[in-house]
Amino acid sequence: MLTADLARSRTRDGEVRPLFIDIADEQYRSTAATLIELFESHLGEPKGELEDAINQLTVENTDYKIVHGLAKLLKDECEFEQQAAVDPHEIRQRLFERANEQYPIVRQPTLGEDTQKLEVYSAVADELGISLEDCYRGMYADLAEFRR
Amino acid sequence: MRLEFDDGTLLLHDAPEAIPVAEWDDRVGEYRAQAYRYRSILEWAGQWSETDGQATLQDGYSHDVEDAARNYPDVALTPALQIEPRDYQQAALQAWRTHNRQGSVILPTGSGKTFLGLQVIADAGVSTLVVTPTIDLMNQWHATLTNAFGDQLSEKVGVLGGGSHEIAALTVTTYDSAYRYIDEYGDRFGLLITDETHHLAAETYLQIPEMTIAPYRLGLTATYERADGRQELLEDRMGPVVYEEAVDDLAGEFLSEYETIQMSVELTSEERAEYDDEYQLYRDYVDSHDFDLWKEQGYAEFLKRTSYDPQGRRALIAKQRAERIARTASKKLDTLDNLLKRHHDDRVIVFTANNDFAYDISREFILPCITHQTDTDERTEILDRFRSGEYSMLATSQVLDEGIDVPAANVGVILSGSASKRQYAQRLGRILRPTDDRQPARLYEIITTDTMETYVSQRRRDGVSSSADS
Repeated sequence: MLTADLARSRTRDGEVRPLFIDIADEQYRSTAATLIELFESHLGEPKGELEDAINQLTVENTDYKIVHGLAKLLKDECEFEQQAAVDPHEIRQRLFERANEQYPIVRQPTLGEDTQKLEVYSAVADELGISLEDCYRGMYADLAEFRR
Repeated sequence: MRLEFDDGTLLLHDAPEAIPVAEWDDRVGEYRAQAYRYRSILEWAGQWSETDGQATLQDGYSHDVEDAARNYPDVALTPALQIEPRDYQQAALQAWRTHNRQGSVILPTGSGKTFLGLQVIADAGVSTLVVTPTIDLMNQWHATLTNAFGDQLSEKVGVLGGGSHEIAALTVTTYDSAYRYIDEYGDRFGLLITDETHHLAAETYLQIPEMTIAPYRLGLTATYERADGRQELLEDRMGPVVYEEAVDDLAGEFLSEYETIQMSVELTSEERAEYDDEYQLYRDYVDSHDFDLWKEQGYAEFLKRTSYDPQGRRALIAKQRAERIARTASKKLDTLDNLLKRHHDDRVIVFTANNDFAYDISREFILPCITHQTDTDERTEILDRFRSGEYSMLATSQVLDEGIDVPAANVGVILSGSASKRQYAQRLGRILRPTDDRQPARLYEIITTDTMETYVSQRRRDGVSSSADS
């Protein structure tokens, strides 16, 4: 369903009328086709990336309301799932606890301490019996934008 | 005349025609007034009496009034912990009392606004509704009220919001819940306290003070200013600003000394090229259309054009992109990196203005992170652990901007922010809490040179000057 910010209406003589789009309009049909293609190509990808791609479509398009509206209808038909081997909250908590013992965890390490970040992630991964990648990606897998 | 509370309004049965602030309601054939006029109507009728005083006679004669509107009890309370109020708290209380127990008090974050609230509740001696912007603040007030008055109350402190729906003589709630239910409960409280009261001026929230009859009102905030200039409405509903204490007046006396250190970073050549392109696109569009962007009107006109002019739309996106590049400049992370190295034994809070950047930092430096997407339980857990020392660092986007009782940190890093004085003052306030006397608290501001951010930072500092500037 369209949310209020996406619905278009016109007020005349104290009467509010919804503005529907003409489904036969070539322009809108082409927009819809582009969107459907976009959604299909993002199957299994994070929601955040799909949103970025949709925004990209509206950069020079003053019909952005319609683009977002059509996209919303498509999103309603999609399912986004949290994909994590372990509860993301559990992963985070262990990471932060361990990290707190080892600060500073820095990007330009001075000699001899250049593996801390990796150490923390891999230690937690081992603890939980998951791969390093699962640990890194799973850390915030519960956020909407990282759902797939 | 008979006063009756009716769905957030006052119904005035058999009111004389001379009745002020009321309007004839054809549907019921009676006069009707907004609920917040309760006190002024009683004053007009010569029927208003202070808890400790005489009835006031407004125009020399009195009208008989049957007050069926008031549905709130007197409550005699004394704060359990008798702490001597600080001079400015005493002065603020006094100022509020002499302004007919109405109005707002501006105090910096960390200077004991809640404590003042307790004094005011004890002084007013009536049932009280405390409205806060967030669930966290609501929980905090609940704890403070329970500690101070719990033993003297026959029932627990009520909670309206966050899944609870209990109304008691002392009740805490959020703006959102209050807005939803105030038409039902607007007659149940004699004192209305609004925390972070500058939020109240929003159109929807303004209904909270409008639909309550509370004759006593207190607004609390660290920063009263609003960009939209709606303070006047606030004053009409809550009373004027009766007391103000600026950040500088208190720094060094009750709040720990702090120093501000500004660090600039350059954009990488790649970022610079993109920034310049986008910014130019925006600038060209604006320049070719004669908007006076320094005026609110000019900016509104620009925004309006972006809705039908593709080039304008592109210009708006260009502006947003340029801002984003400056905000998230990759070298900021290098600088942050150095700061975390320098302060690895300290208690550090890193502020960012957007969620993505906060999460980037959280993953990169493995810092606990709070954004508006963080659920309440986890937020509480992280804050508790930060308080207890289990965590020593924290990254956050704007959600902590309100006066949550964030455990004291001695180092703050602002990575990005918007040009609002309010935000800056409150962010400052959070690390201004006295920690220990090892060293002054430090606030680092990392900004990107030769971008719009440079001006933003200047504007920000014009709002609050730090002790390090002198």
